[in-house]
Amino acid sequence: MNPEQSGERKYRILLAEDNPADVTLLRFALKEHRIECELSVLNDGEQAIEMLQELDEDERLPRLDLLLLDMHLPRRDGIEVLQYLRSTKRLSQTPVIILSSADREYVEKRTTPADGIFFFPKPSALDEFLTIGAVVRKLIEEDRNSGEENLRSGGASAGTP
Amino acid sequence: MTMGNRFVTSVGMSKFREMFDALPVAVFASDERGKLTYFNEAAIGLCGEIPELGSNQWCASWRLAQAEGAAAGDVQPALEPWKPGDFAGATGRELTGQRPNGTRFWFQLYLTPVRDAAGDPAGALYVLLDITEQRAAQYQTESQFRAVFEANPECVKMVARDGTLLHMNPAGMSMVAALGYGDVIGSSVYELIAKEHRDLYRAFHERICAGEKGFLEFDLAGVHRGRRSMETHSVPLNLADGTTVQLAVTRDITERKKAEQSALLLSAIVDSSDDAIISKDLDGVITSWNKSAERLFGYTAAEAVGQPVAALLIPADRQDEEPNILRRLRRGERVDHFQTVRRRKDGSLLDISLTISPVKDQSGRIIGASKIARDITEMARSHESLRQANLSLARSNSDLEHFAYAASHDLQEPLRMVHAYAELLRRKLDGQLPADGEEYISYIVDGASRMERLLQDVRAYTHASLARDGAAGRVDANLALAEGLAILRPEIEESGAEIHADLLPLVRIHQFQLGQLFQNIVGNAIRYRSSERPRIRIAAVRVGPDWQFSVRDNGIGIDPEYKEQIFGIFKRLHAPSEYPGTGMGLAICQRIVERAGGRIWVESEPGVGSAFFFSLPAD
Repeated sequence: MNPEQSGERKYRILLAEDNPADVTLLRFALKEHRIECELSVLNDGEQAIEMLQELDEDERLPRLDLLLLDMHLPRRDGIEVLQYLRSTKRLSQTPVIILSSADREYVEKRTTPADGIFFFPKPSALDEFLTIGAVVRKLIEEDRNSGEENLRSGGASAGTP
Repeated sequence: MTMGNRFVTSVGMSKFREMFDALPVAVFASDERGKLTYFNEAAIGLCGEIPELGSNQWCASWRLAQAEGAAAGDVQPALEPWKPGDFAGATGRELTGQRPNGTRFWFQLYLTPVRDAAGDPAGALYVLLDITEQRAAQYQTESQFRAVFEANPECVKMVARDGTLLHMNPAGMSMVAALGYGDVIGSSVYELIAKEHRDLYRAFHERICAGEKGFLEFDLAGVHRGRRSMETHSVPLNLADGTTVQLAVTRDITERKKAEQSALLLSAIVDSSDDAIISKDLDGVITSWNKSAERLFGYTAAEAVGQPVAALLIPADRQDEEPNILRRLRRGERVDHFQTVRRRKDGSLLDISLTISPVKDQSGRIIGASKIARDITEMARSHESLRQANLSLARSNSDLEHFAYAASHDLQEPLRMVHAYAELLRRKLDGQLPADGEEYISYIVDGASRMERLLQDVRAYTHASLARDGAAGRVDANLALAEGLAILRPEIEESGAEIHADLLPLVRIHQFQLGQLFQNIVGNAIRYRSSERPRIRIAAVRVGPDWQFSVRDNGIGIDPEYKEQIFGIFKRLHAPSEYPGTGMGLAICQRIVERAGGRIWVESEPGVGSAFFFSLPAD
């Protein structure tokens, strides 16, 4: 199911990444996998947190479908952004992909498995890098489906008021 | 005509009988054959029985002997007066007799021959003067003196003026190690004296014989034994013949001299020692103080001896040490290399190492302690600077490792860009690139890939060092092997390798590191295979506190010349085109094993195969 087929709105994805080369590669990967999305790119941790705050507080805005998070960000690092996200009212259940290889241990020590974090090491080979598109699609759709199941069964989807 | 005869004839026989009967000395008379013709009352007492007249001789029931105890021989006193020659020699002699009841007595015998009117021998008159009591008293005195002489543990000897040895007691004999009296008695005393002491001794001997008392130390050459040191006390002794001899009591002081010498030596050693050597009693009061103690602490022996250690040397904040030390000493314990601080006379403090041992008397009772104090100020200082140097070395080493670790990570980022964008470029320009452009891009991508592998290995290598901080648990080597083999699955499948592993033990190491170890070693076994299908066998045996793992293959093997080299960083024995690799694999393995407290090595036969061994602690 993609947005065009289901007629739903575009996915809303936040990318916190300070390396423009990686931003370009990620855009390329999303495009390669035909993921129609509204991609907001934030170059440091503070901007990312501000953005998350805005999205959380303004209920008119659509909720966030995915956070793509690099750990090494200027000003506020990835962990702080992640912790902020988990503390929000509407967005705390948002799927997260950590764009990192070496930091897996560091992140796992500071999170719980319940945080549902997916790690995607940035591979050097282009083909491998582009597989992130498939990961993004899979995570978003799983999240959507579980949300719809919750709605159908009358339960409130977390993050949905 | 003798006087006796005149006397008998003038007073008449009966009269003289009455007179003799009343005499308090024993009187016998005999006929010319020696048969008893008369005895008085006193004679009965002396005989111990009543003799029979006319049949017994006067001495018939006695066993006679010379007074000195020698057998009497053919002494027949009754006949002696009639023997040719001068019988006066026989009269007045001392004899001893034993009565029938066994008791002994001593007597002086006086004989008087009796002639008949014709002047022929008619018998004899015997007067026996009982001297048993005087004799016993004299004998007692003599034997006492003899006992003192014989039993004296010192050498007692008499030396004639000319140096002839007249007498020497058994202690003396053994002192000169003489085998018998013949060895020394009658010989010259000077022969016993050590050559260089003979003149000294001669002068001394002359003085004694001239009437002085004296004392002398000299060495004995000994007769059958080595040199001994002697000390003699001598007095002049005037003999009955009017000569004066030396009576000497001499003591063997060889042991004492040796003891004195070793005591001197010991005290010289103590005094010349660089360490302060102090003794104290069980109350902690100083009893001796060597020169180094003076130098070290600044107090002279006179100032220190008699003072309590605690008051003199121990700083206020360490006063609790002394009672502790004294308690341990009383229990007979030693205090070894106790590092502490003591105070000098000038108040300055001193780093010292103390070794204190209990001192026991001959009965084993603890009476005090000897204390050796070594100035370790310099040692402590150099120790500290060594520690600092080590610390800074460890710090810079760790900094370097952290740097390498961080650098290998950060260098990877730009490399990833080169790699990814080279590929992106190729994709974007797909079909538009000239053939050599395509080739160039391949070189960029290959170079970047290779650089990435190198950096990954450098990172793994430094990671093996940095991971030491986390305490390793005991891990199941079977699981670690499975992890390692899972990563190698493509290579295993591609090569068709047969891998057999025994049941492996638990060992103390980080699990992912053990996995990496197996991965690298098994990976090498596959990579460096011969034309045969790789067969790899993994096993472990217990060796002391360790498990010794082995990974054996049937690969190309390693020339023994390189069996050390292969564990070096970036060491490769083959061109990358021949066998791919960064040359870091075994370096990482060695790092991992050594950090875990083990050892890694290889045994190999080129063309037959290799066996890699590594040991890991079991607990």
